[in-house]
Amino acid sequence: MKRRNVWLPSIPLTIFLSGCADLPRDQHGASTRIRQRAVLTVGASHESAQLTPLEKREKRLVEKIARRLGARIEWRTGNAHQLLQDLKELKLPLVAAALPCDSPFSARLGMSQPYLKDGPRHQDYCLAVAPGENQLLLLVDQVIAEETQRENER
Amino acid sequence: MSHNDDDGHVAEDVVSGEARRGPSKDELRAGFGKMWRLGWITLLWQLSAAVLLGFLMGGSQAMKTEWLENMLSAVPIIAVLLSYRTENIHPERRHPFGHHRTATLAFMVAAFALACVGTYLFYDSLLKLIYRERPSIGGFTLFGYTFWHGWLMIGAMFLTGIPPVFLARAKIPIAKLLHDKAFYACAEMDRANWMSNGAGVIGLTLVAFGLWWGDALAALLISLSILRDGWTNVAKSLSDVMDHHPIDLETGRPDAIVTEVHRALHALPFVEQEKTLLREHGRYLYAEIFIQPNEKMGPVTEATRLVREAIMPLDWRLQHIAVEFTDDAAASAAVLTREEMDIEAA
Repeated sequence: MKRRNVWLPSIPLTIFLSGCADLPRDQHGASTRIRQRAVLTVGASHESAQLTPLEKREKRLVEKIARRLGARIEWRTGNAHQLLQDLKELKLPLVAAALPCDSPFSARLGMSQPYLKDGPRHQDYCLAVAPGENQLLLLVDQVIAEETQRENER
Repeated sequence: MSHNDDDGHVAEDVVSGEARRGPSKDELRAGFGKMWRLGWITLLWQLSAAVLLGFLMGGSQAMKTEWLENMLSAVPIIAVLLSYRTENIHPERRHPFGHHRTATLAFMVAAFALACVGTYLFYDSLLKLIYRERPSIGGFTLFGYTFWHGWLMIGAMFLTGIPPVFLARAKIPIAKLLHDKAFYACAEMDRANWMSNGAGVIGLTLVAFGLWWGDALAALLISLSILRDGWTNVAKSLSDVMDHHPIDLETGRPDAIVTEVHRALHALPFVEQEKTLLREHGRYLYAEIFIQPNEKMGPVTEATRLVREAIMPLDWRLQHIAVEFTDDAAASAAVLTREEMDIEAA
């Protein structure tokens, strides 16, 4: 009787799964663009050199995200409302502007996990990612989770 | 002629004398017990599935739609459980025909709820497609490991899609046995559930591949399934309220009981002509029988007893019949329009 090679179906499966290694993908390829250009443009509302503790925390997170992407940071400062509008229109990939997680914009944007719970004014604070850029959002969430864990261990 | 007895499965057909199968009282008792238990199992399942999907909902429109579908699917089964109790309330002065129709009412409310929310979800998903809204689904941290929330949603959709298929298989024979329209509708919704869950799984997988429209399109398909369930059931329940002819639950065609009643009546020696109005009253059947007798007609009480003995064993659901002997069956049974009553507006 002819023996069936049970390993045979695993070949196309492996090829398929190796093609899925980068899932989830961004809907507009923000992560790929950042890696290719080695520049992460981040919208920030702070204008003065004196950073608040919240902004310092955001800066630390953004630096870590940029390192993971192999990119340098290019800060674009401005009015938070305009930055979020640019984010919504996919002109920016990331905004770090001391945003409360339940901001009115949150439904239309990719809000990260809170990097600070019960912060100033008893609110949770999040970073915002361009809508649909799920690979970038996942990376941001992973960095926040690691930072939160490290702080909890301290 | 013999009636269905407590333990027997077979009743002799009053017309042809041939044996006719019908559910025995034991089968009906067991059926009602199963319906009650399956109702509770479904309700508990749907609520736990809704809690799970609600917890994992995140930013996915397909998940939101599926969650609402699960929440709403609980409404018809609540209607079934409520009417199981209320249809047993005894008739009283204000409700001389009893409360069998509470099932119809509950079914209608449930159907309208489903139809309205289905319409809203269809509109909501369509807008998301038109405005090209991109679903943002980030990470989910579990035991210190952060992975894509979408995988968890896909798993939840997949898992919650399986049990309803088995629930539907268990419910359909019971719904047919007890002729419970709301329970049958629940079973049909369960049967269709795996398709909407499948659409959700495919939609989220498309999102994982960076195709933003996958989520909204899946939500649109799920909402179409809710819409279909809702409006089909609205039509069924409205038709029920309109005293429709008894119909077969599965096919929607006139129930065989309609012809059986006519045949049984014509087999009686004293029936010259007859006109029978049959209607569903919840799961039960009510009949108004107008008989034009011939010269073989005996005393009215005797003839009425014979009619009852000929009709009642035909179906366990026949529980209320009114018999009238008349010179003109068609005229007595006539349901008049305003024009025929000569009261139409000038």
